[in-house]
Amino acid sequence: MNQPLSYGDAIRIDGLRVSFSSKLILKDVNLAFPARTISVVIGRSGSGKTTLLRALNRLNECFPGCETSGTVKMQLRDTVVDVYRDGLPLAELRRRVGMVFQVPNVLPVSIGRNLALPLRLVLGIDKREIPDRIEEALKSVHLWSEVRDRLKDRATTLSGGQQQRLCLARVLALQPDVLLLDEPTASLDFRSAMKIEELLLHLKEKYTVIAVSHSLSQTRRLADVVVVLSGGRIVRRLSSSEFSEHQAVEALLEAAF
Amino acid sequence: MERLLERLFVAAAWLSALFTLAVVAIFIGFLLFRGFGTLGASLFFGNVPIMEAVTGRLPVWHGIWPAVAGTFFLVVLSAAMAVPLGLASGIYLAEYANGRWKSALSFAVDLLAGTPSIIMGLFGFALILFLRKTILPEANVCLLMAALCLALLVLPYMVRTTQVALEGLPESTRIAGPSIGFTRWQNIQHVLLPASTKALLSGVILSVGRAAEDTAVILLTGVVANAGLPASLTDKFEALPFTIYYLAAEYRTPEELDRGFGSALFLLLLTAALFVAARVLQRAFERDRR
Repeated sequence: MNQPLSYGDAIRIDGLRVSFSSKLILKDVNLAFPARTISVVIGRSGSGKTTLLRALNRLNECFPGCETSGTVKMQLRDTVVDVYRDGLPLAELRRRVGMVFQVPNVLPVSIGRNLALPLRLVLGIDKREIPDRIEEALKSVHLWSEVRDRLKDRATTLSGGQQQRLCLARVLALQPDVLLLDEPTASLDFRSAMKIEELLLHLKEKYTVIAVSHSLSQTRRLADVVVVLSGGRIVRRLSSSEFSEHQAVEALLEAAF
Repeated sequence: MERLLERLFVAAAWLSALFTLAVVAIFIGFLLFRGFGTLGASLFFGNVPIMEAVTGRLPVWHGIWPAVAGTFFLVVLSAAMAVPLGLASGIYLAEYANGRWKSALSFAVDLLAGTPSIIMGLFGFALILFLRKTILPEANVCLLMAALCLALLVLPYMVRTTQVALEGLPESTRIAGPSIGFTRWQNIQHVLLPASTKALLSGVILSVGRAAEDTAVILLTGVVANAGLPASLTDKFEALPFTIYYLAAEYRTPEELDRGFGSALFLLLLTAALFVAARVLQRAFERDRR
């Protein structure tokens, strides 16, 4: 039933349509995302970028009036999963397809508990093992040295950039296969944004990363593949080599910004 | 012209604010003036020694201690019934119910919220009569019955505040849990409820305050002047708001009237203390969550 995806692809989307209360947001999207690369989705506001991202971890369904059709196949560890048909539990899917949002959404608890809660509730990690896992996760986003002495402080006392890295750590702690990033640096200052970007370039060695971006320069720095959405359709898909050509960028500017 | 209108508007806004402040100040000032002098052991215990009164070994006839104790039990009992039920209903309405079922339930809650308390009292009274004629011949007006009716009275406050608190959470908070693989209930328990403790606590305070001050419900379901300390859940009892009403309506000496003012002042202080306690609780709760 589930044929393997084409070589090198981690995700394959076919005939994806998503509507909210009968308003069609994504119209027949066909697309593949290669494994262990950063794919950047760009497009104007309202072009359906966020909806496309949320279709991959089925987060659209948290909103009223959502209807989805089409297939999304995904390579998760050793198996290929048809996300909307194979009956993979939602919680499991969302653990494997981690998401970071535009505005950091730390849980209303302490820094430590932000990691301990998902580790315990979602992965069922033993209590004694949790401190080590927390340290590991915070180190993976270079946050450990900054917060090691204040794990009991509320997460909202961190700066925006730190909160966003905490959110990333929370996602990474759950051992995902795919990372979805919805404009992860949009609410951050320049330095914090650069830190996150560095992290992402490093993370793509292990994960398939799909990011939405509003910044052309960021897209240039990060993207291996650029996908342009317009009016709920894919209008362009470029590799990084094509993207570096001057004319292509001009065309992109025209289409997406 | 427009500038004049704006100035008038600002002036009116200032005046309204001042008016509210003035009313509260006059109200509290008057209570303090008439009631402060009576605050003291004799207001609560009359001429009975404190230890004897508190333990109930000697009855208190000329003090409000039995009423204080009665109000305390009444409030604790009705909160114990209304708060969990209200929380649960609020969570259900905000997170699970939808469509027609949700609007029907919301309508029922609105209806309950709009029910005058005297009707709730009559309902309790009728319920007791009904119980007497059917399964419980010995049913009578009592503490438990009054608490039950009070719980019904304050239930909609609790339901509404819970629902509004949960529905008012920003989208980013709402989807934080699901996006990391929390189930619906895990999300409610570990994200949504902790994120709205403040609002939930104010719901509890509102309910408790309402339960503490209502007179009409208990009037028909078990409050009695000079009942003394309630001996059990099925016993008659005294309560502060009723005592105030009773003293104000039927005082025989000026001292008794002063005692009424003293009781009113004490009820006000009690409510204020509740607010403070709720704040402290909330702080402690937040610390605990770390």
